[in-house]
Amino acid sequence: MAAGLPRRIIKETQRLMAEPVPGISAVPDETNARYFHVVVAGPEGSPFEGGVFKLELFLPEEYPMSAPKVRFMTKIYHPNIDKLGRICLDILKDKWSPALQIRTVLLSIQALLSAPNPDDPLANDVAELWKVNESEAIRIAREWTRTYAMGN
Amino acid sequence: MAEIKSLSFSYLDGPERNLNLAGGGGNRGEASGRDRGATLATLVSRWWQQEVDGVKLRTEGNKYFQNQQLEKALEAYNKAFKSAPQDHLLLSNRSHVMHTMGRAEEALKDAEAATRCRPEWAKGYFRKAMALTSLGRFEDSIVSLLQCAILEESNNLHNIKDEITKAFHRLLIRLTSNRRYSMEGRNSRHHHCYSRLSPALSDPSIIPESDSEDSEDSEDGHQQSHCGPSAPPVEEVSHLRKIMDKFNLEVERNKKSSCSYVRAVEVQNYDKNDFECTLCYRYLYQPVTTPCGHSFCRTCLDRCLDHSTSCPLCKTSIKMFLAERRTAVTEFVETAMQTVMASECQERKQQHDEEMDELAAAGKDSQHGIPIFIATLAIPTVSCPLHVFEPRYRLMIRRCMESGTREFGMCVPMENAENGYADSGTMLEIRDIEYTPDGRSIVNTVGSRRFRIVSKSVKDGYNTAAVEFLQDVVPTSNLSELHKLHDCVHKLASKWYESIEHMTKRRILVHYGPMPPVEGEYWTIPNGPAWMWWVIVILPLDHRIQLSILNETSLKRRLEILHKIVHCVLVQQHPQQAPAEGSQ
Ligand SMILES: [Zn+2]
Ligand SMILES: [Zn+2]
Repeated sequence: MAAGLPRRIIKETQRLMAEPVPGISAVPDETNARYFHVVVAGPEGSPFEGGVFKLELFLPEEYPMSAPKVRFMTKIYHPNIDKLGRICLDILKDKWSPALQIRTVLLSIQALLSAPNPDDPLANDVAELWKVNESEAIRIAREWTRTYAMGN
Repeated sequence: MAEIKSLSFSYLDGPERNLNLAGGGGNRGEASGRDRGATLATLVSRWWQQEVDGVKLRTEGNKYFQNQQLEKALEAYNKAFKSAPQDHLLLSNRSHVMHTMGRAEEALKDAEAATRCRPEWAKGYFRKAMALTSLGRFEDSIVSLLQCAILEESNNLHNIKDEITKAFHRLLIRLTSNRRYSMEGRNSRHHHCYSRLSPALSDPSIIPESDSEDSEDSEDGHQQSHCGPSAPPVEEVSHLRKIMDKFNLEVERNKKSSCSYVRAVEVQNYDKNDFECTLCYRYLYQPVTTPCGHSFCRTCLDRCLDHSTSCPLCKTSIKMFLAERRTAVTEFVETAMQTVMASECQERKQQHDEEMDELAAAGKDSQHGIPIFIATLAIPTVSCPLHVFEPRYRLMIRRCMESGTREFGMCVPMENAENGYADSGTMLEIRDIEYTPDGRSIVNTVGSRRFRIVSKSVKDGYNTAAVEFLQDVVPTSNLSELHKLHDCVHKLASKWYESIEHMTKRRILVHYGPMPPVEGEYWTIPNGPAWMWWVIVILPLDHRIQLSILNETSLKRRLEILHKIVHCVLVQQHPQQAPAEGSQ
């Protein structure tokens, strides 16, 4: 007795396919239309440049009343992303609004890669290094990008 | 050649009404490039830019006028007139400033234009009357005031009545003094009379007094030349008749002029996407507009308000909006949509109706699950007040009300069961709902049918289940035995109830009322006699035992179980005087 996919999710998916966000691909899973395979290209000029980062995005039953659940699958050295790939982003938590959409979320994640925010950290040791020795942190982030995000 | 669609907004005073024009677009630069969730103000200024400019200039003029800068006010109004020559408020305000400046002819012209733009607008006639008075055309002024009076809202009517009184007074003074002048040829008397009465023109409260003076005068034998009520002279009567004739003529003319104001929209300025709900991505249905100017489907906004009290698009607090339960549909948006995209509106309505039908069919068959509330054990016939605060249940209860089913299933939470709740439960019928300002509610319900769950599911965050309703098997044989058992258990239960201490009894009475009387042919009722459920609720029983009684569809067996329980309780209370089990 599974309820049909809400019209909104269908439309969002269609629009995402028709006008993709530059540098991001999001494809719904073949067996679960609420589950998206996301690939984000590391933004130019960031320590993640050249990397290809895989994420998973899931729309819970209450979506859009509650935020999509997003997680990095590819290892990344970033002050706002922890070892398990969880992302510290306000719009995924208390700042979520049902008028936001998958597209907004993806854009915000892209922006987070361009501008890490060590003052609002999730991965504490990374944020610490980012604050004390930014160039060293950036060097590690580049190295991680080469090691984990350029493999395939 | 631009195609034009006409929107008839006859109820709309001006495009700025209820809209915060200063607020502007309110788009947060959604990165999609799509202009989502335009505010009403955005739409209005896109459709009627010129008029909006006019409104801004008029507002400017009003400020000058308040500061007594009449010349500057007039200048702003003149500029506004170029943008919005049909704006009746502007015409009325310009008339007012002209009148104040002593330019009565021009004041009259604008006032007349205002009444032509909006024949049903009372104030236009008031302005006209003021201008006419200044021009000394008292009869015409009275006609305009009467027209104003029939259109004015009743709470403003006393002002108009005062003005009408003053106007008649003026007219009668003139008639009187004219005659005195011609009859007596005494200019000084004329002046004296006028100056004596003139304060009354600015203070209506004085008028009755001067009237009484007049009637005193009339006893001196001067009644022919006075406006006393006793014997109006012929000339005054004919004047009044003339006024009434003119008034009738004007009213008839207004009835015929079906001048409902039509505001047009150029199709190139009209974007259907403006009417897509930013929450469900469909065209708006029953659009509701927040104070910040954003429109959503009523059901979509209601759902957001279950979670948060700020506008989903711009985060403006809409706490008051929620507290005042302002859920009226925005006619402006609805009319605009109906005018330009009627077929889409029709389609959207159909969609909504189908969704409602779907909800209304809850429990009809295994395809249409019932909504499940997981909180407590509900018992047939027993009332069950609920405090509803969780967003998912707020949605659920609202849907029960909107679809008209007014009922849902109640199940007791159960840790190890599938989805965390028991596999059977009781329907609760909604009796009434009291809302608190923050959107929570107290829902008064009463238990009805019992059910067993066939399969469990989830819908928009709350649980649903396909169910099979339970009812007692009607016994066909051994009825007298059943009656005997019933009477015995009833007697025992009553005895136990009597033995309860006073304070507890009072609490039971407050919560559940007195023990229901035994129904005639109680063995044919789907849930059996009500008194048994009442006893089951007040007995200190574990949920599991209550649940097993609920699932029992044989009245005989339920009576046997209850008998055992009541007996045990009585034994615990009074070990010495307990009756032997089974004694009758
Ligand atoms: Zn909607
Ligand atoms: Zn808003």
